Amino acid sequence: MNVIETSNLTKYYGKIKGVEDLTLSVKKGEIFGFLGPNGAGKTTTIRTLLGYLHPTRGSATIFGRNIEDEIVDIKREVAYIPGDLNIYGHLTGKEFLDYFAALRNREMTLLEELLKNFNVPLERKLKGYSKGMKQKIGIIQAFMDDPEMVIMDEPTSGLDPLLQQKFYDFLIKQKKRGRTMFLSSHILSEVDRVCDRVGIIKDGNLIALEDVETLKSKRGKIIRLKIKEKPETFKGPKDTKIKDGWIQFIVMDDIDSWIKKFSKYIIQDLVIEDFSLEDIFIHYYEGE
Amino acid sequence: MNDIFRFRIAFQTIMDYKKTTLILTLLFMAMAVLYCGMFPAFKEPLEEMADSGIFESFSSFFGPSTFDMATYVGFLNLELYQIFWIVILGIIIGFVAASLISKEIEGKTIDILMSNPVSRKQIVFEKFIGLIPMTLIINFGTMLAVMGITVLIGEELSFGNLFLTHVASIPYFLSILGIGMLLSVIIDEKMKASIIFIALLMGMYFIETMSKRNHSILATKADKKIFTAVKKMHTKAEYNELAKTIVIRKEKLKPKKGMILVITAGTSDIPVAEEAVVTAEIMGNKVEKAYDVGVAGVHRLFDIKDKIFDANVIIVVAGMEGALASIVGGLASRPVIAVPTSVGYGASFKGIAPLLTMMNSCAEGIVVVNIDNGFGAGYFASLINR
Repeated sequence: MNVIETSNLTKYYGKIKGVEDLTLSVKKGEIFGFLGPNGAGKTTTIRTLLGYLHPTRGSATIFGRNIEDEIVDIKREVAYIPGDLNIYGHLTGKEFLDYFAALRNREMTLLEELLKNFNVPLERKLKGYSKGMKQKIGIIQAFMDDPEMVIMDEPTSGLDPLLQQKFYDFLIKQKKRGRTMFLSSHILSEVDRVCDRVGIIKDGNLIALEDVETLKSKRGKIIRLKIKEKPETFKGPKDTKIKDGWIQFIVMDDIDSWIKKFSKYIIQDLVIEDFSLEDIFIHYYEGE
Repeated sequence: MNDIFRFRIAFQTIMDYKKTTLILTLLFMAMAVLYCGMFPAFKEPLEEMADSGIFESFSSFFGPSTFDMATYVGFLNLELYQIFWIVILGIIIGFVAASLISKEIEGKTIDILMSNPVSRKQIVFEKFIGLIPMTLIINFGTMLAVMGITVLIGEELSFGNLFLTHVASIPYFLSILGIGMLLSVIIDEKMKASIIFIALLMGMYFIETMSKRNHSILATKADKKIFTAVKKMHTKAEYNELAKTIVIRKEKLKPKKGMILVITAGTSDIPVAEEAVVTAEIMGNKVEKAYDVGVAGVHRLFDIKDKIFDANVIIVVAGMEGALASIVGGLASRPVIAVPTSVGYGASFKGIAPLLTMMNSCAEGIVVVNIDNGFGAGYFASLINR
């Protein structure tokens, strides 16, 4: 079952393109990574999905409900952590959580667990919170009533590595409970670590939508080798680079034929590596 | 639907403005006590000033409703209510309302607020509701302060009227809230929204006090085209097709006791008669009409003889030879204003003939106005009819 389904979702700010013809689906119980550099249209997409912006064209449903007509019902089951998190400075942490709990109007089943994991000074006013504390309370308010789906816009910014790890663990735990998460990010390692599938967006257009694993395997391996002969004598593929005596090139799927070719040379050193998501990212953004 | 009636945002708004409410209430109570307490000290100089007539210029500025400043009620009305209440409190409440939503937009807290299952409409509506308690508390807090200090300084004041004044101001402050909220939604910077609100309120206040000075307006000899143009600027304008008059009624005059009777000789005289009727009516006169009762069938005049004897002033509109004015003038004991009309055939010289007849009338008590001058007759009749 798909939790989010968009079809040619487009948002223009006047003549400026926010996002164009976005068609994707997010399955129930997965962590979907939404990847792109700053200004690619990630936040626009999220704000459109949440009903903050009216789509210029196209449509989207969340839990089978149309975002334009039933957004209030949708938001009962969907929580949101804004990228640019601003909260009411004059309230204390506790007052803020109580206010939002009252607006959600249901059992705050995960509140205790969250407060244990992401401990914040509840009696202090929010204007006295550090960036990390604000981020933590943003996470708490989103997950506290255990919503079916949480949409997150770069949620780990401002968290130290230890807290980031705690957060990732929490996300995976939520996934195991069958909850869905939509995670926008420009941090590749994060997506690499927790996401099941990833959509890559560039200049407002979706340019890839794949399983994280396939994406990695599909893009093959990086081979680096040193030979006793002059490196220039090696007949590699077109994009072969030679640097400090190392011959480096990328192979997609015919690794076997390459290994066999190597036997004609005297191999001094050989490294075969997985293509990291980072390499793929650079490949996507530098290519074309 | 249940969620909508839980008013959580409204409640939060009340809590957010708890301190503001308290401070403003105390401030206005203090202001009321201060002003009322000051009155005994000012009483004498104020009475002197009242004798010198200086308040007339005041009241033309603040509207004719202003009482005499030298009385306690008048003093309260002008100093406390007109200035502090209507203007300053209006500005403060509008200021708060105008910043209400724009504050959330400018501070971007609206993002996280809207992630909850609430609609935009509900946010705006509940925020509006959330400001009402503040308005009411300041309102009635000030009322209690005025009551308290009045008893203390031993002045006379009808507490029932005071209460009514405060109750009546609720719709005023609610509309202030509404306008403020509207700006708050349209303009996403809170200072800008608040400043525009103040400009708007001050503008409205001056237009209101200025328009209070306006009397009713009458335009004669206006055709349909002119009326259409006037109507665009003033939707309350009324048109009388026969009289070709446009009337904009602003003030309600106390009706005068006496009756003005307008009589025409024929049906062609009716437009001129109507002009006189409209003029006399807008000047606050009771007007009765008797049309088409001319000398061609003089028995028709007998049917209205009671009216002729009742009338305080009579306007007679006649063309051709204009004999009707003499007959009525001979019957009535009250002044008769004769209006010659330009109807009739060639040798009436477009009204010269009846004009001369009327001027040469043997019956006394007749004055004559210019040919077709219904307005002049109506105006003059009104001056006689005091």
